[in-house]
Amino acid sequence: MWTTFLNSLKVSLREKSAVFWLFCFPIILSTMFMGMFGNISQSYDLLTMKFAVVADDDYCKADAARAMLAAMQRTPLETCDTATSDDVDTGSDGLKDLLELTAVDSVAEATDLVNRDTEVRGYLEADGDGMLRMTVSRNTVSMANSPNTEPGLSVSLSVLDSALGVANRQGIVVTQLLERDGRLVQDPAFLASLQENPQVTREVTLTNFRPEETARYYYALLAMAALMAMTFAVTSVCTAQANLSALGMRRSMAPLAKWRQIAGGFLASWLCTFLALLVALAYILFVCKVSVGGRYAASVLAIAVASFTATALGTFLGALPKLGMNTKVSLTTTLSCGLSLFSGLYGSQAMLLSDTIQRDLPWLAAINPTQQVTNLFYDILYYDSYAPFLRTVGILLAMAAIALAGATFFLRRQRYEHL
Amino acid sequence: MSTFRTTFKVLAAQKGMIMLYVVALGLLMFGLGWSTASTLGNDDSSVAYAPDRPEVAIVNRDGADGERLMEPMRAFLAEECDLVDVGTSSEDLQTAVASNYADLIVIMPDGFAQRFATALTDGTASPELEVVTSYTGALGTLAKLQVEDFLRLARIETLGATYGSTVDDSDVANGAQAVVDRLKDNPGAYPTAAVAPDPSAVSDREDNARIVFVTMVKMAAYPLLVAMLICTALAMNAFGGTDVRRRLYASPRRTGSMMLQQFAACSVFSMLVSVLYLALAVALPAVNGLPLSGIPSATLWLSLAAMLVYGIVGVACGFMLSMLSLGSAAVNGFGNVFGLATMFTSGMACPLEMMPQFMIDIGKLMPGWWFCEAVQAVSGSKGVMDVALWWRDMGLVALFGVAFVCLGLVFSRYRRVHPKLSGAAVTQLAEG
Amino acid sequence: MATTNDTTKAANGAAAISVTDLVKRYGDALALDYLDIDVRPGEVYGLLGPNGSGKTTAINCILGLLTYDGGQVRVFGEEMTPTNYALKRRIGIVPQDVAVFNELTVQENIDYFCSLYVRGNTERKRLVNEAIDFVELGEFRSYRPRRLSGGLLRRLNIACGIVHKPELIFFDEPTVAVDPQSRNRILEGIQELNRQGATVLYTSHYMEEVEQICDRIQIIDHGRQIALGTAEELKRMVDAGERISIEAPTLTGDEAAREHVMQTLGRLACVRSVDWDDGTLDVTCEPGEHDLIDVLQALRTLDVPVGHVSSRTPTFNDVFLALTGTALRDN
Repeated sequence: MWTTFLNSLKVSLREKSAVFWLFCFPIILSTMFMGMFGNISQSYDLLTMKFAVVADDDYCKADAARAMLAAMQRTPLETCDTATSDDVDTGSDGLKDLLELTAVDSVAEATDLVNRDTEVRGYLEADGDGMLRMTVSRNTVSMANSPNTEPGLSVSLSVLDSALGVANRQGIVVTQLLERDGRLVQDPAFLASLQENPQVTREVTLTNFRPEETARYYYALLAMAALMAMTFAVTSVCTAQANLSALGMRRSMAPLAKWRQIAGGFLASWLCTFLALLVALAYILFVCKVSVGGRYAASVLAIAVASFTATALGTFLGALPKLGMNTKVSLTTTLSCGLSLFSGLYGSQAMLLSDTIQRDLPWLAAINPTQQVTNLFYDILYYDSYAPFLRTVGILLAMAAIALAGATFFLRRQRYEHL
Repeated sequence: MSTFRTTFKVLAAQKGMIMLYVVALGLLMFGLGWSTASTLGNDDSSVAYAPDRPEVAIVNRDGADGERLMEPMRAFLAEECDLVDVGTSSEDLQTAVASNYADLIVIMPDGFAQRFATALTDGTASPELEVVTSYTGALGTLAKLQVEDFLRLARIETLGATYGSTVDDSDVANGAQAVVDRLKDNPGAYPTAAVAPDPSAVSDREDNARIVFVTMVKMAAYPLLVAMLICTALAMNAFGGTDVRRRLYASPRRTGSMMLQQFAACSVFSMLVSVLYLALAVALPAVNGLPLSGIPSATLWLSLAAMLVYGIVGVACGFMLSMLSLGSAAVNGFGNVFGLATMFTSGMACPLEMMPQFMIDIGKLMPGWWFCEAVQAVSGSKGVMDVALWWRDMGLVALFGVAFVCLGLVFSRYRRVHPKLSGAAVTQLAEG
Repeated sequence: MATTNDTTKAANGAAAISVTDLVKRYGDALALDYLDIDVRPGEVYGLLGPNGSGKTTAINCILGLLTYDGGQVRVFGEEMTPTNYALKRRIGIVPQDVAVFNELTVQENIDYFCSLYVRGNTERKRLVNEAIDFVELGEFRSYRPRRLSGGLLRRLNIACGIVHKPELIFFDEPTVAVDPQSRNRILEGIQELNRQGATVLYTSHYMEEVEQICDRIQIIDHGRQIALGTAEELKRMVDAGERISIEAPTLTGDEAAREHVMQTLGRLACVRSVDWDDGTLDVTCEPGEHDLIDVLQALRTLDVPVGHVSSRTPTFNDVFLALTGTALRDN
């Protein structure tokens, strides 16, 4: 068995295409990700949007609304012949650059402007009660719904819409309170308290480590690489089976029990896969600077489990009768690429799909080995306790056990109906 | 013409590759776009804009006191957010954060309601809700604004109601409920954004059809390039094996003519695949109930032309690879890496805004970038159709094809001058 | 003519291979039809047959790789099962397809296959070196298979099968696509192995090889034995004498004269048939000792000038074709 192990190791590591796919390809893809995600934080920034504002009498009377809008502009629009105060706290410094306003005289003029100039997203107007209202152009609606163009537009519009609501609600509550109880108007303490804006929320981190959007792609890449490594095991099994090759026939005639030959090949494949994933992990951790929260030992264990499961799955695939080795290797590629779609490798839409499946169809996620390998690293990074990690390890080992049982069923045959 | 016909037969014999790259990969990419298509297809409000609704999870650790405050908070947030239940245990919450189940998680710590009341009474610092904002975008920030707005209003309402008296947690709860009641029927409290009428604009659904079509055309670029590259390389490899090549050289046919026929056959194949993908790009909006009249005919035909050219560039790349006499595994490796690099740097998979400038510069060195630019130029976005830009961009795409062909000819010459043994480097099983 | 070694060809004792009434079906098709094979220890046993006759099926049944539907298979008196490792240790196979690892060098390939049979490192090294010397691949030790020519590959294939010095060796068409020098070397090697005591079961389509090295030859067709014996015995089974070719240029333009000559020759007792082929008379004779003299005498009597004359006795190829027919077997 030892010589079979060594032999399989040599054969696997000397096969150039396997070396490329399993050692170089993850590094190439990681490097690509590293470049691609360089500006990811900027994609979540709010846009500065050009809006028109109907500076009619109602608008000019709505001091609070104007103050709110001024707080959302870098250079507040001077209109209504009065300076606007920018001492309104919108609750977030990030809203300071949300708007760039242009004054118009009427709704008709505003409508014409937004339809004519696609840079102007819409217009704002105030009603008689000082309530602000937003109207957007048809072009803005379609841009906001378009998934990959101007990704910040939709959320920026939503934030503006929400900010208008905040201003309106404040106005409604305060006005009605003051109308209801005349004493409040004359109470400086109460009026002073209206200006206060105490801190009522505090950002906390629940996870072991702060989540990173981009880390998920790297983990999904590791998962794909793990499944690609099934090729080692497939090749190892095919070269040991008499019904699959002349080489297998020769090896079957050797006075070494079949299980020992298969086991030797299995161990070699496991080691090769482990090494490949270790190299990829090291590159991801130390070059791409993706974190595992300092839990390196757990990461190595994760690699060991992932490679064991991949080898078991590859053994099962290799043991399937009636399929040639080339077909099986193609199946390896197909499965790893196809299942990686569901673990989020292929971009933001795929990641969304992966999240949806995990939440709404957890059983589907449970049987997807690429998703489970991805989860191994999530679990290490995000949870305080190792329980979720160990659960995922359990799922993967169960998958491996089922695969090995299936492989045993197909491999147990020592004689064949035909070769 | 016999070489042309034979190349077609060789292509057709590669059923596995066709199934994998043309069919499976194509369906994969179109499947990714399905959610976009169905979202836009479900959007039947052609004159109404709906802002994004953040998903908010609320966790109460303050017992009954907290629940009395939480209930009006939920009612308040439900107006502009979607409330989700992510569980309450520590592990549940960590899962929710890691997997982005909610844009905002709000945790009311133990004793919050009482401390809030105390702060209102004696003017001390207000207690704080613990919040976890999703890392994926500003929706979490938007939801946090809403939460802060609620507490601010509840504070005002409570102070107004208790005026000068001691405030206890039931006052706070009542104040919070009063906020909800007061705002409930007031249209100004939750203003609905309107959409400006534009008689000259196409309907939203028509525009959505256009958007879906253009998105699908761009997404088809990845399988088109990879499939054509790999299928062409493998088909031409069949003519490039040492012994077959010897036989062909010995024949009374010009090598250039045979190569041209192989290229032509692969090009015809790529055209068929391009038409297939275009049909899928048209079918997707139709299946989702979007009117095809929304796709300008110029957009349709120019997109088809772009795909035809792009497919032939893939063929040219495959031709170049075949002249290197690479094995099947190497061809697959190169094809997938090149295809993925093209896909990621062209903005198909992730928005370009995510990428730093140098990556965009790299993308411009790939044909996929210019293909997407060309399609975008004639997409009819904002009513604009820039055909001149399309010509420029497709000219650049075509130049890539020319470059690949030239490189292929160089490699071909090198191969003739430096023949080598045709033995396999890896174990080729003699399968029984 | 096969070289025999009387001290090793024991006529008593258990047969090396004993197959009795072997039946194998593939669905409705009968691949082996109550086939008997009896290989004596120390002999080189040839197994011949057209394509699809059941040779490889028979070998795979003997090796325990294929299930069979009836009959009995014994190797060295024991039943051949997949887990009979003691028996497997005594067997070596050289399959028709080159079964080596392309990623390993010549030495590594032989060493690996030896390691499956032999445990001790020292012993294994010695055997590997002997095998490499035996097939004369010494200067190619560090080469990988893709750098070897066809002949060298075949020798590597053989080395991997015999490195552990088996008592029984199966050679399945070991000289396919090999140049004459390499083929000659391979055949000499097989004979040497036999001299060293190995029993050989040899299959081939090359009749002259089989005739050269095999002690006994079994011809099978449609899964059934057609003939069994030494080459001479098999030739005698086919009732054919020598074939004489005589150049007769003067008969080329004269059809009447040619017909007369052919009829006259045809009436000779020793002549079976006469054909004319572009200036040459082809005369097939009955078995006899004076055929050539009789034919030449007849031509002198007819006053026919003759040019080049050649005569050949029936080859084993003729025997094979006579027994199995000349129709193509393309399955």
